[in-house]
Amino acid sequence: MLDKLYITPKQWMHILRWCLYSLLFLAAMMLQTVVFGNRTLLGAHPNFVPVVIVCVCLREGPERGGLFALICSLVWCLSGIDYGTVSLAVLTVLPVLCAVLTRTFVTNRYFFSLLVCLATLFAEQGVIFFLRWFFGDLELSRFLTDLLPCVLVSTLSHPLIYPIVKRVEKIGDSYEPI
Amino acid sequence: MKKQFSTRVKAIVVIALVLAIVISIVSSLFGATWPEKAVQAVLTPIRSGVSSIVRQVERYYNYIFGYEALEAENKYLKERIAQIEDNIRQNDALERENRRLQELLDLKERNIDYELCSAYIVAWESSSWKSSFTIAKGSSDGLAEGMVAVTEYGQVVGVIQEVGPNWASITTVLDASLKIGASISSSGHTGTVQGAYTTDQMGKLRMNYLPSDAVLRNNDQVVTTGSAVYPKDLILGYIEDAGIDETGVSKYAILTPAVDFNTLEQVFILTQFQAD
Repeated sequence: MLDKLYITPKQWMHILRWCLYSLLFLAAMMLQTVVFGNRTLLGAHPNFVPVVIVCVCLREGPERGGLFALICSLVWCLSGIDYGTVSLAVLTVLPVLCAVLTRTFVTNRYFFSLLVCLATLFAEQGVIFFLRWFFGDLELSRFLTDLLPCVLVSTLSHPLIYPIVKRVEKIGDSYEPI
Repeated sequence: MKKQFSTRVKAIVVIALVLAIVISIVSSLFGATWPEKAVQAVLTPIRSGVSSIVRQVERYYNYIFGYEALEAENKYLKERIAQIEDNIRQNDALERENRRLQELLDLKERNIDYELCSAYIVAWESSSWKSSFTIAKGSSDGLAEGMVAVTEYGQVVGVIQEVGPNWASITTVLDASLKIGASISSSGHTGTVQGAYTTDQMGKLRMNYLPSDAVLRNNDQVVTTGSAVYPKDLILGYIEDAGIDETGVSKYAILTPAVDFNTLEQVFILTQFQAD
């Protein structure tokens, strides 16, 4: 009975891995809402959270990565953001479906994850933009002046976040059976 | 493909969609739900910590890289102080004259009792479509939805939209969803002020429904008309531009907000005031 309570070194490594992913998500969230909340980067508000979720989901696969995407987007949705439920749906469904495609068809995961990041950011921000436009809060011209720069600037963070996620994913690999 | 698209993956997708629908319905019916309040309550201390670190870093950065700018600002401020002191002397004379006239006309000075709660901004809404921020004070400090946030100079910042035990979310006057009854101080013409939502008017306010014969001058001050939410004579902004609106029967004015949102760090929530 007691031996089941013992945590093996491999399990410790897995706990560390998921803690680091969570810290990365929290850091992205704080960077986005606190540091860049009232500031712009190259004239746009960057959106780092979707990039972290997509990278982790694509690296970890549709099951474990999907669960991470679900939990993170739920926390993101409940943190008081505008149209949070749109983010919850888009940031879970799109990365999970793309993770399934990655595992099945794709060999170069880096460029595919860059494309998925772009698509996820575009889908999330696009749906929110059109909802606000539909309710008369925005003018359609802001699609070009605000939405596209926001998506492009946010995608610039992918080359920084992807290697970190790739590195964290390797934690615990030495304990895997050869 | 089928192997990857397992039951667990399908369950994750379904749960996400169901949660999105349920949260949408529940929050539109009852406002902020308890899970939302719990997440915000946990995040607020972290945001406060990060926010204070960012402020410190910014101060050091400004100290190191902004020395010349500070020197120029210091010179400018000294000139301004001299100018203001001169204005104060003139104002004192005018005030005495005004007091005498008031006594003559037997007018009673109206006193509005403001009760204010000070709070620091800990996070800004990160999207380009909404202008709101979070403060680290909540219902435990006596704050409630619908209370108005002002600066120390009596300028309107926004209105509390959601409140938790230790946090509150404030939608600023720049957001197009907020509409405030306002009047032009000099002429008394009334209208409705809301955040401008077109690209060329970003960061500005728009005053609608002004009479077509209203005379609008640049830098005319626009203040609140007073309601159950807003006390009278809080400053909203200054007229920058004007024109005839889309209907052709009334005028509109574009206002520069009185509040400088780029440097805003602290706000004061009006927890109580005597409505007219």
